[in-house]
Amino acid sequence: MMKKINFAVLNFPGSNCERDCFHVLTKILKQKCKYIWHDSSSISGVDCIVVPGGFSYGDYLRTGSIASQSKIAKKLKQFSLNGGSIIGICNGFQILTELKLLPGTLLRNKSLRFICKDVNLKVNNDSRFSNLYENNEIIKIPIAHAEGNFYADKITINKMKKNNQIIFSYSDSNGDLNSNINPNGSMLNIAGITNKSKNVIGMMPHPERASEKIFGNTDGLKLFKSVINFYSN
Amino acid sequence: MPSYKINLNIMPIPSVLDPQGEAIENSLKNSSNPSASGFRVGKKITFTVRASNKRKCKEIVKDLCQKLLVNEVIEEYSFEIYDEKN
Repeated sequence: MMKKINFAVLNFPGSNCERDCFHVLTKILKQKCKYIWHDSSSISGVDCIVVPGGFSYGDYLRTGSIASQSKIAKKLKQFSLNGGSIIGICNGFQILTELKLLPGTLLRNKSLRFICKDVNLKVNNDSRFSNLYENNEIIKIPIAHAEGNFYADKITINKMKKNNQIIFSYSDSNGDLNSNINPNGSMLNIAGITNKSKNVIGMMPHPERASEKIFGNTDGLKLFKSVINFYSN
Repeated sequence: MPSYKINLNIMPIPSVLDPQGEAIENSLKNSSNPSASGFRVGKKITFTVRASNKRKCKEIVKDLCQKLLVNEVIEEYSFEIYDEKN
């Protein structure tokens, strides 16, 4: 039987993927999970926090920027410093970069279009969020965003490469990272990264939308299982 | 305490691709007057600051920019301070 750990899903005005994440964690993976509202100032008894997708605060000013000023966001920094696990998905990724918990930022897609489709990702399994995947495994997860074009300056990119922080990259079905299959213009085809200490991940693809057989795709499930596995060892 | 009116201009830094600026330029190429180029799209934010003097006001604006208004990973900014007329 799988170990039970304590998850929490944050909820901002304009979040819209929080229920999907909660459903996968509680109903599919049978984990303990609670919602935390944005103006709460307490995170207690939690191993892993999910910052879900959506359009927090209507994407005003810059995506994720207003949410990064909320009461709970400040607590999130402390939670990260203490080594807690944080998964930022889509808008959650944008919030974590605005909070400076992750390097770089997400620009408008190169095409200026909102893109919603399945994409192939090449996995780096050297993290607590990807340890159950094979290294260089190709998985399929949907993306749905208008601002997913990862950008960072050259020095930051080099540091991220050196620290092995790039976890998911947009790839073709053979694992080739070419610009033709890059959906949004992201540098180095980046789809998901961790911070330097590798306890925080941000990713544009939605693993919670690929976690149930009924959807015909369970490639995302291993991400959540990897975190549970990390706490089981 | 005096009030100052701030005009804050925010632009993408030169190394950041600005597809909106490119789209504008491409669309104008098709128009009758293709003489303009180098379009970049930014934003302007106006607000009022109460401060004891202009120097203090400048410090407050810089602090606000760093905290929230500007993402210095991708944006640069400049601002003008005007005495607010009552």
